[in-house]
Amino acid sequence: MSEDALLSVRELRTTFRRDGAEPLTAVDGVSFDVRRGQALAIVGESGSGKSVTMRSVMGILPRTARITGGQALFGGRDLLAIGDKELRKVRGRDIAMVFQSAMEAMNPTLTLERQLTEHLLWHGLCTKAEAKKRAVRALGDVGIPDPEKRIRTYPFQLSGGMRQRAMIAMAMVTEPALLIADEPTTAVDVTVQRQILDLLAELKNRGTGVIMITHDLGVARYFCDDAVVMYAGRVVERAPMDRLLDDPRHPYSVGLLGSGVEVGGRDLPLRPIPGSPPDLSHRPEGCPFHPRCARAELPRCATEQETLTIGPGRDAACWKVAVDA
Amino acid sequence: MTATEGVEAVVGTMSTGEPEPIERGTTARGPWSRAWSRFRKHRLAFGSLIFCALLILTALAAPLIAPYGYEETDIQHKLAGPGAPGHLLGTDLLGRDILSRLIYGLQTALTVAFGAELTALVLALAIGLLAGYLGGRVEQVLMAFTDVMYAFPSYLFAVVMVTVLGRSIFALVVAIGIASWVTQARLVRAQVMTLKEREYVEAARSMGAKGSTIAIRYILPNAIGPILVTTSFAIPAAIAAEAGLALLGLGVQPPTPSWGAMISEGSRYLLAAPHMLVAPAVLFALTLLAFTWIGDGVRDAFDPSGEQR
Repeated sequence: MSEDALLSVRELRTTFRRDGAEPLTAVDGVSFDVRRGQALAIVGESGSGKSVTMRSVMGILPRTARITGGQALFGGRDLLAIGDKELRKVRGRDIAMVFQSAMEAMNPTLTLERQLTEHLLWHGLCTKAEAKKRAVRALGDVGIPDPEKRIRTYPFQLSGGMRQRAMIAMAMVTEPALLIADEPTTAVDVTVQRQILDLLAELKNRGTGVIMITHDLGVARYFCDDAVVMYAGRVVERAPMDRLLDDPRHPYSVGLLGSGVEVGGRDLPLRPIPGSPPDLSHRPEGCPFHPRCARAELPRCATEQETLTIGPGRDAACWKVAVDA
Repeated sequence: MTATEGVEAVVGTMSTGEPEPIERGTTARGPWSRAWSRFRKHRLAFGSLIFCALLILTALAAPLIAPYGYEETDIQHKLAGPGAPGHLLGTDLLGRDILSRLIYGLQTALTVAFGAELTALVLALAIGLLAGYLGGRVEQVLMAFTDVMYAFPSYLFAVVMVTVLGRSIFALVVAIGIASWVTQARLVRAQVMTLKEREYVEAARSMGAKGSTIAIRYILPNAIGPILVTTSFAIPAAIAAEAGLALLGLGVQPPTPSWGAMISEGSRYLLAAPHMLVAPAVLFALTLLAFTWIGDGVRDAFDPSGEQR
């Protein structure tokens, strides 16, 4: 859509091969944009396809997965078409990723120094001596005290919060244009959560584009500018973050907000969405949310799903939105 | 880390207002050094390691240590008992010094065992890593090959190898090595398959690591613990296998001494000259026991549940 987008994903489709069955569609026509210095939240429950979406863009899907359509434009190139060798040069250098748990995402047999400098060297970004300086600086930047000394330690010798910050330093040391954070605060406790979010917000202010994959709207609202809500592999609503919180349009977004405990501090009773997300191998026809939707109207909801633009940078995949307006 | 450093670390952390004073030390102690310090605490294993180190030194310095050559005969003192003048452990049927033959036999045993296990390790790592990491067609072919080898009786295979290659140390290394890489390759593959699903492997991919880098730098070092454990248990097994083949008459070509051949020969003169059997049998048993205890120590050293936090 927009010309100044850092990453533009269009109609992405990813399927998983299954033994003796039709391939399973995990991501079904997902589109979004991220701009420089902007943060986009991809919100959804487990299994909504948010992680698979980002792994498709990065080209780090499991072997059974296959991208069957769409585009991911980044710096004038389609990441889905350039091939693994070229994509590998982009990964880590231009687009970096932060994972849910640093305990899991760092190699226990390598010191921080190795883990923070290796990819600088893989990408030929600088000399070994320079790489070490940059690594020490990156550790300092994420608020790790005494980085010259800490860089010689192994991940298990750091506390949970420090480890998480070291992982962010690892992603940031190459100064990527885009940072993808996959549930970066889910595995850490609340005090650390805040520090991690502040750190990500600072990166955003320095011009890095951030994509935050999360199921937690409370986390997303803290620093994201835009939001994409996903359900069963599809985007159901796209909106500026504050608009989504104030005025969600898609019934699923409404339900998601209603079932969040910490969102906005509004004194509303918790209203969990009845039912559970669909098994993707039996995705309902039409709008995948209709079996759980209080406003569903048959047969229309069970046969078609239409995305309606409802304002600048806003759309929702529900025909009822037009009725509301 | 010294006590003062520890205090400094804590004070330093608190003064910068960091909410995380909990530190597990700031000295760089890698997984290897932790494994080693756990190994050292295992007294039996550590003692065995010293014993085995002495055995290895003895084998290396055999010509210096052994009082006689292994072929040297003392015709005056055939079948001399232990303590006979000049022959601490006595002599055999041909008047050869038993102690000297034990020392040279040690050379044979260790060369065969280490050679075979090194061969097995290299084969197992290569095949297991390729199969586990690449998956797909490569894995199917490699594992089918491994299964065929697994189904083949290893002693029969060794017999064939020795028949084809002749009764040499090389033939024994190949025969025993090939008989024992199969189990190891399966273990390597299983390890690799679990490890490649780990998030740090995905993280390495997301940083632009090449497949070979991931396999060698991220998967292999984390798989090495269990592999070393089986290798350390495989060494005594290889020593026993060499002796077993010698008992069957398929060991190294005489007169090169082998414990298995000595035991076999000694058993024929058990009543007349028991020392011919007892000396090699005792040393054989002690060596196997020591290597097995080392294996125990290695296993405990790499066991994460033994981790002291």
